[in-house]
Amino acid sequence: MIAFIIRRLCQSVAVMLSVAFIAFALFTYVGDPINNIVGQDTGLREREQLRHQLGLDDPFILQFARFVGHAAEGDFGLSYQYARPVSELIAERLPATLELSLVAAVLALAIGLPVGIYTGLHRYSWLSQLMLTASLVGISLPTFLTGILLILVFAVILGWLPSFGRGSTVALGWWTTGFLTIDGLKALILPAITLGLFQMTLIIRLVRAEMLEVLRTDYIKFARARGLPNRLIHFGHALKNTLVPVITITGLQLGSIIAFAVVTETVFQWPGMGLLIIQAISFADIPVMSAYLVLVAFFFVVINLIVDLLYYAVDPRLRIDRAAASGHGI
Amino acid sequence: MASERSPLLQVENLRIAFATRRGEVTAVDGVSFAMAPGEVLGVVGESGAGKSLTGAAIIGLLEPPGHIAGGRIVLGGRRIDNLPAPEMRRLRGKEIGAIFQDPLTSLNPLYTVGRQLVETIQVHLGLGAAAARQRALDLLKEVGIPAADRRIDHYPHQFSGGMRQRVVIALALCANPRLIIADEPTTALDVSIQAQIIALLKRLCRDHGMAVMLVTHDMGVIAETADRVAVMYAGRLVEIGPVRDIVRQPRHPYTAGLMGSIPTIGGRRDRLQQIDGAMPRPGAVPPGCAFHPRCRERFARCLDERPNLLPAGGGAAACWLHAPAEAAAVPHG
Repeated sequence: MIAFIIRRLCQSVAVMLSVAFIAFALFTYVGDPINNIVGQDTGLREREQLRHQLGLDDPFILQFARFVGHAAEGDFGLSYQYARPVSELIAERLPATLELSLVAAVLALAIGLPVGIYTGLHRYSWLSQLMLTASLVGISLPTFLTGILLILVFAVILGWLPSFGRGSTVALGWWTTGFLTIDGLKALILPAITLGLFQMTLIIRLVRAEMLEVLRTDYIKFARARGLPNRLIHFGHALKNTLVPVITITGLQLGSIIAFAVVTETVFQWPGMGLLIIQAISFADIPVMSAYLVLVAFFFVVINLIVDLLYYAVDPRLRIDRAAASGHGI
Repeated sequence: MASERSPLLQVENLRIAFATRRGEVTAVDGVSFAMAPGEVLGVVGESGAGKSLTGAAIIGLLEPPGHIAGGRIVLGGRRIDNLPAPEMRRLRGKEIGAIFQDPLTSLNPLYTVGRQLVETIQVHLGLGAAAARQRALDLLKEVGIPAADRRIDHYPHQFSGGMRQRVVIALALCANPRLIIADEPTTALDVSIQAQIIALLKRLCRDHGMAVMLVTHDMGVIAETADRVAVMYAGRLVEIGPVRDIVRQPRHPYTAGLMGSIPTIGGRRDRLQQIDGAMPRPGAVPPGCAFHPRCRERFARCLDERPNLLPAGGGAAACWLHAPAEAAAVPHG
């Protein structure tokens, strides 16, 4: 178990280093940072001086090591656009994105899981067919269109919910939350649905397919032959066996929700990281872009680590290695 | 014959059909037999002969679109083929146990064998947790799992194939059923393990007075274990009788062909006999006797009149050769 965690941690560090390398390469190869800092009429000598001051004439490896060192401390330098530390900008925006992603993911799971189970158990009922058809719509509509349609219906025509922004937020230390005001909660609804819809339909279809697959297995037939009640067979035996793939996909999807909140945040003018990165890209604000890259990679790595640990908890076959080695397999 | 005692199980004129796009296809047609308490009945036949379907119908686990289209199944005087689903569910495991072919896939990989035993015991016997665990432990010991008190908390993948089949048998025994349907219980196992499992089944059958319906295509297993044999062909019962009689002197030409295709040690025959042709698929069964296109002894009556089970030797065979009027006639075919 501990060896497994250490192995996974080493892999995670390797992934983070490669992503950091790409983020670093952005600085070095996408334009000249000096050009981005100084004006047009700065002389060559002053440019060289600045280059030396900033350590940009140091060997590549040294610069990369310095970048990684700073990044590990959360220091990604100053934003070109705002002339403020990138870490500050991100800390301001992070709560908005994380809250939105969390609500979207919970929504996707809370609806996707039961609907998936229902449609798996009652394959031929009209309700299943209806829900599957509806999920087809969810999976095929692009996010921006869903967002715009929701705004049209609920904000413009019905006027029930706000069409943009986070509403009023409450500051808890550096973390600003929209969970504590009615206004903030109302503002969360449309973007969360928009962001979570695709993942929800994906989870429905995945859980359904897995459920159908597991219900065909011999151990489910044997459980029926043992006379176990349906409820125990479906929720005790079948559901748990569908969990491994569902955990994998849900984990990966949570990562994508955070990373691809960009579109939803743009549609709803949600003041999160997605909006920040869009602005940074149009401004070629490389420190912000590289920080975002590293941060998203970090989220993915952490989520994957958690997913691996959950496998371990769910599936005893992964825990066997040591027991088999000590001769229990007869 | 065993039917002199009051039968435990009676299957009467059982018909199993599948609803398909082209209408109903009959897979099992007019099968009747009885089993006495404590009796081991071997059911043999080729793949697709309907032997597993018959077993599944008795325990109420036919998979749609398959369904019982006719006939009756009576267990201990109570008709069970038309029971509502919840009552049939309570019967399964409690009165009729099942053992499936592949012990590797019959157990849920995510739960310990102890947990699977305990849940089955609690569902049927309503014991408390401690009593149920004690019974689970006793069952594991009874089926010959060494160090049962330690193994009870192991997961299925920690057991070998033979040990897993023992666990499966323990699961079938949880509520002391009167009848066990064993569907190819040894097919997936090594030959050396097969003998152990068969010996175990025989011992349990004797100790508990359980009847076992042993579905297999392995005549060797049947000869070793069964009291009587039922031979199925193309969804029909073609011969039934005491195992000794059928092995020594089969009365139906199909059974004779089946026996002729078994290799014997000592090599008295140079070549194994084979039956020409193939068993008809469900839905393409010819009129008359289903076996007539492949039969070397067929005559006119076989082509258009379906034979019922007729007394022959110590048992019965569905073959016109045994009709009183034809017995003396010379077959021409």
